[in-house]
Amino acid sequence: MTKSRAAIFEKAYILHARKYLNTSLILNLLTREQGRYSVVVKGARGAGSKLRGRLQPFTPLLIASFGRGELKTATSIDFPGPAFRLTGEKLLLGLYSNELLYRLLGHFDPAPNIYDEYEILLDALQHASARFAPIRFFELTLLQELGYGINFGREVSTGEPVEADCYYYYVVAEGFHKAPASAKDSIRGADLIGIAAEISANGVLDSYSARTANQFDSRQLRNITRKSLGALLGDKPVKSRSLFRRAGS
Amino acid sequence: MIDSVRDSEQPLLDQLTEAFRCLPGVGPKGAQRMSLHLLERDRSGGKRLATLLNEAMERIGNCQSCRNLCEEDLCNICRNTGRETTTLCIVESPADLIAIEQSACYRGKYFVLMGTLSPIEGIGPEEIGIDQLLSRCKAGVEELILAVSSTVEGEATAHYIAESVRPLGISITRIAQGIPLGGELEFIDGNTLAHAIEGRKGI
Ligand SMILES: [Zn+2]
Repeated sequence: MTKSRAAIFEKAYILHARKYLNTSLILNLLTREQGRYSVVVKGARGAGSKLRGRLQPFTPLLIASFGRGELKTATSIDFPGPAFRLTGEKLLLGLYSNELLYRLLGHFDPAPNIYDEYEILLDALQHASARFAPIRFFELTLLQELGYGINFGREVSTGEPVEADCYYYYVVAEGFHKAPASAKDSIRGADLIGIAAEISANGVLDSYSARTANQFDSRQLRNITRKSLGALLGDKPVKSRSLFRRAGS
Repeated sequence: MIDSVRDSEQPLLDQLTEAFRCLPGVGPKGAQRMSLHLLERDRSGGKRLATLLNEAMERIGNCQSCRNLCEEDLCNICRNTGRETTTLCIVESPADLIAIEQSACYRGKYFVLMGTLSPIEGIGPEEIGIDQLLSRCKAGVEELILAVSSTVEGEATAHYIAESVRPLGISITRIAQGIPLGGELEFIDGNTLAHAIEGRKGI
């Protein structure tokens, strides 16, 4: 591949790569400026190609491409930094986030905030010790950016602030309602207030500390994001969830 | 992508050319060359190909023990009593199995995943035969060798299998990753080097 002088590079991550013809690849990308789209990389799997084996998910790319249709053609690819090294369960969580993005983002729908949050997520998966906090936070941001943000701070029918010693239950696309004291699966107001505070603290890496891990690793929060995402994802199950059954996520 | 719709109006020659395009890497020109070659120069070869293709598609299935392609219930390797039954080597595809067999460095048995975990493509634990693998492991396997690709999907597959098999108390190893034989360090990309340094061993 030759670099054209007019090439415009954009930041991208590979969500999915599939083999195409003898030596090529089709990459489904998450880019910062143009959202999600696909490019053909000709010869990427060829014997002499410098790209061979390097076009993997979780690797920061700078990519220049041309073409007007659904499928662009890559003209040049650079690697501005090292790949995120995700291992074990963190790797499965990375694949899960890729599946969510693949299914929830439209083609050529710019989503710079989602791109930035994705990068924060990958960094947290590699470095933070909190088990599920980064992915929960990413799910919440994704919902927010897609227009389905959850307000953890207010009771939805009255608009009143959540009270620490009351109990609440969650309804998709509505929010939190006050629950009768005996209701099953209800959530303590104090927990919701804790989550709301962490969200407004704006997701810097420091917030994935042991302190937040309790709230963000909770099964209750997982159920809330799962229900909300489920409403957007439709009937087709999220395949990567089947990878966590044994790990107990 | 062109739909290979069978149209009785379409001349047989065109249909044949179209059909050749299901082969990997065969474009319109190549497909036409194949059709014309068989019709003009090698009709008997063409007939033999047709018969064999038909038979192979009908009769070749998967080995009930290792999932490799074979036409009996059990493949040659699984039936071979001379091979160690306590070591199981996990590979992604029949092509990988053939590559290891040709290296003549392995005397145990295999399990062929027929792919790697790839949630976006809808390939999960069930599709790679995890239940079959687990019951296989319970039948006297002592060591599991994960010979999967050094890709993100291969990595995820290795982790998932290792976690699933771990409760059985079998020894699990993964083939080494890093510098190819004859590879010069300065030409190797950063990720490969990082893997190689992480996986260093005492000499
Ligand atoms: Zn077999």
